[in-house]
Amino acid sequence: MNKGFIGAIGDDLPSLIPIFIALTIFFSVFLSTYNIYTDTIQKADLEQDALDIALTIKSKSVISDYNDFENLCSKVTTSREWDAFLVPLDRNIDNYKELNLNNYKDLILEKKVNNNTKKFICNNKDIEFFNRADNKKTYMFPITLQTEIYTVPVRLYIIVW
Amino acid sequence: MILNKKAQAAITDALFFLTIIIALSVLMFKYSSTYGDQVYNSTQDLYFKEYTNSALKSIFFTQIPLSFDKNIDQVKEVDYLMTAIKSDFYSDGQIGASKDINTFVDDSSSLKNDDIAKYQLFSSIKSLMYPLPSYDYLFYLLNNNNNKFEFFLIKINEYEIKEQNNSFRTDVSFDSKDNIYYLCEPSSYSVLRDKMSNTNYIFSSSMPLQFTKKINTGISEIKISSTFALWPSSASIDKKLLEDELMKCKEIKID
Repeated sequence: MNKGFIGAIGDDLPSLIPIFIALTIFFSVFLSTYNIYTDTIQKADLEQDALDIALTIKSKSVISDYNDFENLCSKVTTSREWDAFLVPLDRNIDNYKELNLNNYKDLILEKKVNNNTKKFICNNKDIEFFNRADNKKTYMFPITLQTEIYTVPVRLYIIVW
Repeated sequence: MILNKKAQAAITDALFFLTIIIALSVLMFKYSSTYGDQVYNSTQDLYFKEYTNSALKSIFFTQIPLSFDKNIDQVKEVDYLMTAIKSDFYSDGQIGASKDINTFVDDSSSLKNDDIAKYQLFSSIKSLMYPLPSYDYLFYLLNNNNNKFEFFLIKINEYEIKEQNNSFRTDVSFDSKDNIYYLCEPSSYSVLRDKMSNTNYIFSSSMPLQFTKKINTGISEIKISSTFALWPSSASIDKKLLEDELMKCKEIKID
């Protein structure tokens, strides 16, 4: 009887265990790394697109009126779902209202244009889509808006998903 | 003899293979944990840079009541903020009623109305930055002719450090207190730079302005640079550093 000699294949059987463990570890780590890579790329693209949209809409120092705002919205070219709107920025900080997904439509600035009330919102998308999106980004900037009489600071919100 | 050691050699090879794979996996984890950080940081940097740019433009282009009211609808006279500041500076070469730029005059003073532009500048910046409570900021107007500050506002978020001793450890918590607003009179720009050296992430925008000042022989043109900067409140600046003789900061508690 030869010790340690089971057969040509039999001798290699115990060595298969570390090999299987190694392959399992390798492929699971590789898959995890690949998922992180694609996820990071998607998030970076989303943030870059959101910034590009923001820079387009706030390209003017003062938004002169509602038509000007509409023109700025129409200049945005992106394949993503997005929306942008203006919210008042009161000089009196006691009147400040924190924006959230429940109240934001009530806070959007409005203006009467030819007996119609127009809201300063670019696309008026349903916020439910934003809520359900896995990747989303919100940016806020202070900008200036010319109302009928005054030039006032407002908050510009850009949401992209 | 060799036949007896055949299986042992195969397992050894397999273990070497396992070791190499584990080393590769650790490298892949390390790489994936930091992947995209630089891109994320540069996007964030760009956002805050644009934010300070927007804030500075909003300060220049907004209109203000020419009184101590905050509601622009209820006043008779309004003007652009920077126009009001320049008009205030033109007559006496200072912004506000007092020669000390770090204070407002008393309410009972006859010169109180000379503080309107300064007060509206203070209020405008305060309201503009209110949606970002977790960021501290400063705004100044620096006279490039004599390197003196004509206006300096800084807001910091003071943290109260609480230590709670449990049986096994000491818990330290940072409770954010109210925002503190200061008007300051730094002795020089290098003093400001030294005080701000602890803040790693600071984003700023600057814009050159042209002020004019009435002098005996006519008008003098003054080059002013306006700068707005913000940084995370976590890089907290100790208020004692601001209240020393070099910065001469005084807390402003008006609304």
